[in-house]
Order: sequence, then C-alpha cells, then structure tokens
Amino acid sequence: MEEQIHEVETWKTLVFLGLLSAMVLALAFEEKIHAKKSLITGTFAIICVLLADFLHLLPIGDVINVFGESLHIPVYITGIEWEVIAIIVGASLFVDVTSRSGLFTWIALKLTKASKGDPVKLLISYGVLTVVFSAFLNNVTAMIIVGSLTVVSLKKLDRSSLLLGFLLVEGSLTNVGGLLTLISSVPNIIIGSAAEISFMTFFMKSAPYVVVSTVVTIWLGKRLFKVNSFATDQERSDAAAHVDSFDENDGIKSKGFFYLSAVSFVALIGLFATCQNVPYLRDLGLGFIAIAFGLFMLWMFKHEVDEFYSGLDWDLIWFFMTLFVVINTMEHAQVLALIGTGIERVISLGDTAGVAGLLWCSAIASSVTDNIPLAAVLSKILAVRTPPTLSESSLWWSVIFGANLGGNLTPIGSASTVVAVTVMQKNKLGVTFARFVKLSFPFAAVQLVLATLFVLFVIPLFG
Amino acid sequence: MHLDEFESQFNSAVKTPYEYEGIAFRSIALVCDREEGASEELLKIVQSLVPPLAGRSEPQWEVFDRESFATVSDLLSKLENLAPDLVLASRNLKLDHADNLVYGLTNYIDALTQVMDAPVLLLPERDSTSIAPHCEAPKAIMVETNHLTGDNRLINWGVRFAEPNRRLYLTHVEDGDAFAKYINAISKIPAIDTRLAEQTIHDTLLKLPHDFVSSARTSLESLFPELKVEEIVRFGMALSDYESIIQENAIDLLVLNTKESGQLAMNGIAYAIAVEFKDRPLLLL
Repeated sequence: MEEQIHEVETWKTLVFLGLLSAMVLALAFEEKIHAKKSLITGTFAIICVLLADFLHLLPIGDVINVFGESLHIPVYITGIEWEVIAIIVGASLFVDVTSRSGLFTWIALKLTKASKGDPVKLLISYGVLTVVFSAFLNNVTAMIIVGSLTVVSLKKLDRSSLLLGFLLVEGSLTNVGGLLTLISSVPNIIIGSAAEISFMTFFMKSAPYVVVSTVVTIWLGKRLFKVNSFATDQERSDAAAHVDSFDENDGIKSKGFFYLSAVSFVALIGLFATCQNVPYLRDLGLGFIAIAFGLFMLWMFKHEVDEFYSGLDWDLIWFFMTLFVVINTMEHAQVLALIGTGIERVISLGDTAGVAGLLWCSAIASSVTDNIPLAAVLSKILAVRTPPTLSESSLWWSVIFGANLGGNLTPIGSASTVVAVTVMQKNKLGVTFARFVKLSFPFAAVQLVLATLFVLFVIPLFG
Repeated sequence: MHLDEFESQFNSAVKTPYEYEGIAFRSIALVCDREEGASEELLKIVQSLVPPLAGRSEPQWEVFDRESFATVSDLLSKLENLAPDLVLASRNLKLDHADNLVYGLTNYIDALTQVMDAPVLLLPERDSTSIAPHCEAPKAIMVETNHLTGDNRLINWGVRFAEPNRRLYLTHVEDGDAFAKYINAISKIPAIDTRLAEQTIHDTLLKLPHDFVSSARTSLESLFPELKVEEIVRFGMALSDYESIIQENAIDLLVLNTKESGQLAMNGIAYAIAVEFKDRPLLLL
C-alpha cells in the first residue's frame, strides 16, 4: 500500500515512540509479566489505534480497489500483512498434518540408523537435519523434532553427557537453517515480501552461507564439547545394535498417506520455488499456495479438522496480526520515519561499515527482543529509503542475517532457542541465562563474523 | 505441535528386540516324596517331559526321594550343592495325603521357586498309575506373563521345550481390572478426553508386547523353521481367561514367571495358576 505523506506534530510521534518502546520492553520481559505475546501486542494495538484515531492520524475511509470499486474495510484490517499470515497458517496446517504420516520421524530415524550410533556422525546428521527441517518446515518444528530425537537416542546410547553440546549446536543451527529459504523464518517472509525477493533468488544467495556456517558450527561443536568417535570395536558394535532397535516404520500408520505426504511436501517446495513463473499462482502468491496445500492435506483427516484448527498456534497468529496493526499505526504516526533517521546514521557510515553496522545492530536488537517486530519495523524503513533495485541491496541482507542470527546470542533470542532451552531444562542440564550466553557466544560470534564477510563480499557478486 | 508429541513418537519407535540364547541341561534333579523304588519308576516316566535334543549331550539326572531330605532347608542345601539346571518336583511334596491341599502349594514348592535360580517343573497332581499320559513330551507350550516385553529368559525356556517343531504360544494378558480402574479415574478428570485416553492407552499396552512377540517370532522362525510361533496378546485377568486360552489351544505345558522383585512370595497370578491348574505340568521360573 502506498504510504500517504503527511505531517505529524513531533510530540505525537514521540508519544507513539514511547508506546512502541513500552511494547518492545513488555515483549522482552514476557516471562516476568506472565502474559502471552499476543495479549501484549493486542493490548498495545487497541491503545495505538484508539489514540491514533483520536489524534486524527489514521486514513479512515473506504478503500478503492483496482476495478475502482469502493470497499469498506476497517483501517486496522488494512494494516495487516495478510500474505505473511496466510503463509504461517497454511504452512502450519500442512506441517501438522504431514507430521502425522510419520514422514519426518522416518527421515530422522533413517539418518540415526545410518550413523550407526557414532557420536560424530550423529552430530553431523542431526546438524544437517536441523538445517534442512528449519529451512523447509520452520525452525521451531525443526528444534522440536531433532531435539526430542537427540534426547531419546543419546539416552539409548548411554551418551547423555553429550546432550548439552548436541542441543546447543542444534539450537544454533535452527537459526542458520532459517536463512536458507524465503519461508524458513518469519523475518525472511516479512523482509522478502517487502523487498520483493523471489524464493529462488533468496535461496541462491543464502545457500552458500548456510553451507559454510553449518560446517563451521558442527566443527566448533565437536571441538568445544569433545564429541569423539568410539575408540573400540566393542563400543561401535554396541552402539550399532542400540540404534538398530529403532523402528523407523513405527509411526507410519498408512503407507498411502506416507507417500502422499512425501509427494505433497516436495510439490509444495517445488511450487514455492517456481511460483514466480507459474501463471495465476504468481498473482496469488506464496500464502495462497500454503493455504491450498494445508487444506488439501486436511482431507486426510476430514472428520477431525477441528483438532488441527485448535492445534494452530493462535498466540503466534494473533501476535502477528496485532503486531502489524501496531506497526501500521507507528507508520502513520511517523515513528518509523524517526527511527529511520537513526538507522540512517548507521547506514551512512559507508558501504562497508554501514552494512556491517546494520547487521550487528539487528543481531544485538533481536537477541534481546523478538526479531519479528524488528524485521517489520526495519522492512518498512528500508522500503521507503532504498532505491528501486530493492532486492539487490546489501542492506536487506544485513537485516535478514542480523535478525535471524541474533537469536543465537541469548536463550530468549528466537523461538527455536527457547525450545532448545526448554529441552535442556526438561533434562536438568543446569542451563541458566548466563550459562547459555557463555556457551552459545562462540557459535553466534563466528556465525555473525561469517555473515558480515558474506554480506560485504559475496552478496554484491550476485549483482 | 508439542515437544512431548515427538518425544513420544521416538520413544515408541525404540523397540526391545528379542535375543535367543540356547538352554543346555547338564544336570536335572527330580524331587519327590516316593520311596526309592517308586521314585525310580517316576523318573522313567517324567524323563519324557524333557526329551533330549539332537546334537546335545544327555543331562545327568539326580533323584531326591522321600528319604533324601528331612526339611525344606535340608533339600535346598542339597540342591545348592548339585546346582541343577532344572528341578522337577512333585506337587504337594511331603504333605500328608489325608490333607486335601486345594488352596495353595506346599512350603517346599514355595521355597524351591523363590530361592532356587533353576526353574521348577511342577508335575501334575496324579497318582503313580495315571501320571504317565500327562508327562509325555509337550506338543503345545504356552509362555504366559503380564509383562512379556524384554523377558528373553522366559521365552528361551519355552523354546527349549518347543524346539524344533512344536507349537509355542507367546501370551501376554494385560490386567483388565487395573486398566478399568485407571480409566474410571480418568473419566473423572475433565482435562483428559476419556474416550481418547481409553483407546490410546489400550492400544499402546497391547502394542508393546505385540512388537516384542513379532521380534521373537522373526528370530525363532529363522532359527527353527519348523517351530510354530503363535501370538496371544489381549486384555483379561480372571482365571477363566487363562483357562479358555489353555483349553482352546490344547496347551500341555505352561511356562510362568513366579519371581517378583520387592517381595518374597510368588507372583500373584502365577501362584493362582499354579494352584488352579493341577492337571498339567507347569514350568515355574
């Protein structure tokens, strides 16, 4: 939607800046407040819309569509990025139904058996699996699947002492895998949508970094947590016997459903990748494809669809919707323009320092608060600022890399690290906030340094 | 999608594989309360119960007759010295035949099953003239427990009597009364869907022994191609359930676990079966 330029008195902008800061702080202290994210952003959305209307900041009135028809759509509805919501709802439904086929557990157990229980091969297998699942499902689902498999298999192998190292590496790799495709993480969807980056362009540019960073992270994890192969043949054969007792077909209730899920999964990724070149679908977008596939898979459980609807993460969905309303109000109150002038100072440090500065600022900000509001705010600011060749700009990539990788700096930095910490606490590994930061810092620092070099020297090569 | 959901899926995928281990008899003891001549006669009859297997050495038989032991501890001490691989024992050992013992087993049998490591093959309650037909080599052997999964030893003992070409029933009877009690408790908890809990717990309780039996069947059928391995996994508890299984399948040897950790007395259902089913041999581990 085209932003209408209008003058807003400074005091009004400052009032809304205060509200935005309060919301970000409330989200950072979500655990202390004992309130869900959606309730926090929802409350701020109500306050912001009411106040903005009172101060005449909102473009109240009918919306004219491309046929010149006048539509009455409430102002708080037009502020929501429905494409993002559609992708999240559709992909969640699809993944939830598909997981019932046993496909993901089958893949995970096949890899476990292929490793023959060797700790180093397991670390590599689970690391790669985390990246792939994060990339094509989402990072929270990836951490849930690989994290729970790690707990079960290391206990089975009597190698529980390695659990902390494995979970830290996997938690760290969820955010690396989250960089692989346009739909791998919400910041990617928001920024990719604002910067008009296609699925394939995103993949081609980010894949080299993801490969290098995955290798380095696994290598670092192996060294720091002393993950070594077995020393004796007896240990090797015992471990092989242990992992052999996994039955990868246990979760498959119907072969037909299993194959259908596998084919649908590949088809969904294929359509996401080629959407821009498919007539009609390119008009309808990724959200339509996600919703269509989600509903198609629901036919497998046509009498139990309500179970899947109630299984959706409504806290997350309401969080996004109300967050978009808040951001939209901030836009009208010129708060984003004000923040943009601050970011402008970072960017104006030059082509190198500016790009690197934005990446590190994004990372530090997303390590202490949610990376989604950060991505939403920065995407709006960069969309106004940058020249028409938006997708070519390294600044977009600075935000994408910073927003994703910053999540590895603290246990509250991203939803998947929260899951990793939950698994650690459930298994009584004694991980406090400070200990997590200490243990994860080497991984996050190396990944951020690699990302900075990548954005500065490799991204420009793509033109 | 929850953490526990996938942890449960992976836990369910961990199977306990059956591991076969052959059982060899080097020495077997027969404990009875007959006079010397009669006990030798009994020995000839009961030797049919433990037929020799091709390619394995003949076991050494030792008889403990009426005069061989005076008390329970005396018998245990003598058996300890012999360290037999199997003990065959008459029912109602040294009981005055005027006492018609229908409510339990004697102290001797209690002590033999709970103190000795070697299994006790309890002979049918028959007099010397009618016991022979009930001591022929068993054709249908039933391994019975309410916790079959992972119990390799119990199955291996059943296999010893069933190999190479008899019928071996691997039976798991889940305690239906206990299940009903828990479901009744769940039905009073609003947070738990009773129908879903009943169905899923029911299925899971039967799936675990089923998976173990499948593993045992695969392994045994490759080792003994002529052995017929049958699965009976179901809910039940009353003795009538066991009786119907035994009658329906013409079982002529039952293999049971009698030891239970944390208690000196014999396992409850094993004791009940041992008391009730007097007309056929029982192998008590």
